[in-house]
Amino acid sequence: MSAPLLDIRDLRVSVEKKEILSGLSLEVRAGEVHAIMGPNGAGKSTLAQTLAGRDGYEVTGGSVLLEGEDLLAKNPEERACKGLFLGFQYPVEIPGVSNMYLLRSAVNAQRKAAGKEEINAAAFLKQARAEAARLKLKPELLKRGVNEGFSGGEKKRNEILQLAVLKPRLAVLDETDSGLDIDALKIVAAGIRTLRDGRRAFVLITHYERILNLISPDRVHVLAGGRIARSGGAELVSELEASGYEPFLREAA
Amino acid sequence: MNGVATEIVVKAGERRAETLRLNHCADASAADALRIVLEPGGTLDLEELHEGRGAFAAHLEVDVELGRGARMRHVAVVDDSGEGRIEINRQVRLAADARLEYIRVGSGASLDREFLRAGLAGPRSRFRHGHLMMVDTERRAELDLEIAHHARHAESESLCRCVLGSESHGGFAGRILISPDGQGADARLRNDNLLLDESARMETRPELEVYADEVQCAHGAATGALDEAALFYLRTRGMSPDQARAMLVRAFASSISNDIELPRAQGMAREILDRALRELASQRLAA
Repeated sequence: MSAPLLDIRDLRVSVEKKEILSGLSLEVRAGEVHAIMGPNGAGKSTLAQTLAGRDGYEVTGGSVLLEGEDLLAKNPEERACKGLFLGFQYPVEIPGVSNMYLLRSAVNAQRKAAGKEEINAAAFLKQARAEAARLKLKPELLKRGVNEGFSGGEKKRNEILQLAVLKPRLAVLDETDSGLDIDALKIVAAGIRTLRDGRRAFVLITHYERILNLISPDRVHVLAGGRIARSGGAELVSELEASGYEPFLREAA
Repeated sequence: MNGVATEIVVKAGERRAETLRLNHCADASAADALRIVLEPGGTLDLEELHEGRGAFAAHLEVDVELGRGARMRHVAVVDDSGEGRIEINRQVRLAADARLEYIRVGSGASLDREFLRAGLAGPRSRFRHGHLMMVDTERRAELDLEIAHHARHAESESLCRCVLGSESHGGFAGRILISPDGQGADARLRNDNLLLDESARMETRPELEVYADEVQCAHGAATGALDEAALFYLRTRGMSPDQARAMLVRAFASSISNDIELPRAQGMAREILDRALRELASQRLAA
């Protein structure tokens, strides 16, 4: 078997001196989709923020390798340029920075890091418009400030638009499905499926079965008490729906 | 035109565009007085471009009078080497149905002080005002503003934004006054400040004084640092910290700088903004 794209070993993370992740291990291979479920406060978002390199998330032990390289030694922009994408649970509003400008700047920053030339602006505009149309995002949202005045669903679809344009190796999507109606959920799921090829991998952090019915995950993990309490195939989702997290919390305690 | 009074008179119904270049240096200061008159129905685009070198001291009296139905777009930019002192005492008066859009941009100076008194003297007159200060390291900028509504159904909108570098100092004292004759006034006043360093200081005092019953007024002020969540968001998309900061500062300034339509003033404002961002980046490098 090939080396994993993402290899997390015994990861320990504290926030404000409180340990949130207590020895989490996870291997994700290229082409796979992993779902991480778990009760509130289990550490799901802490995992996402730590992978992206947010200040205040102190790694006290363990390691994270992305394509064999030490991810934790890199700053957030280096991680992005290395192919990591975080889909935010609460995408940030940035008035005055147009959505289109952000997209182009992000693509160019990542191309520059890879030693490539800047992208052709006209061709890129066309591409971004096409991707936005596929996600049923109104064209005027490309001109508006990043997420400024967007509805909850538009913000999440905008994250998927960035994903579609940036085409990362590994996408960690933190509750991208929360707050979406059925139609928006289908659009988001289709957006993710389009990018699901043999090279990329996805980690979906979610509370709900419904997105997993639209994107069949290869592996499902239950995060409880700061570590992976149980892993299984897609069948684990229906088991969770029936039993709730209670049994896992007892196991983790 | 050193040391002399300058006058621009736009005749009734006439359209004009003027650019005034005022160069200030240590031994000679430019025009002491500027008088602008728009006769009824006159239209003027005015670019007032100040460039300061060395330790100059300039004091300028500016008087702007808009007749009935006159229209004026006015952009004043003060770019200073950092050692000069410039004080502008500006009075503007608008007759009925007159419209004035006035934007002032500055880099800050040893002292850049604008004292602005706007009188909405005629019914339905409109005053739109933007004041953008990119106050570099160890500089100082102040705005003392009063917008007075003296006639019915006049509208005013004023936004002052300051970006403050290390050891810089900004001051805003802004007041909307609605006199008893100012019924139906619609007046908005705002001051937002971005502190790029802990050593930057800003004093702000927005005020309302209302003597009429049927008015719509809003005033407010906010001062803070760059949004950490937004910086992180941009970095997770691949932007370097400097690039992310520059994007956010530009975005902050854009709500005024994007309204500058006159080309020379626009170019000069862009230079001031670019320079402030370069300075910000080099400070980070040194830190």
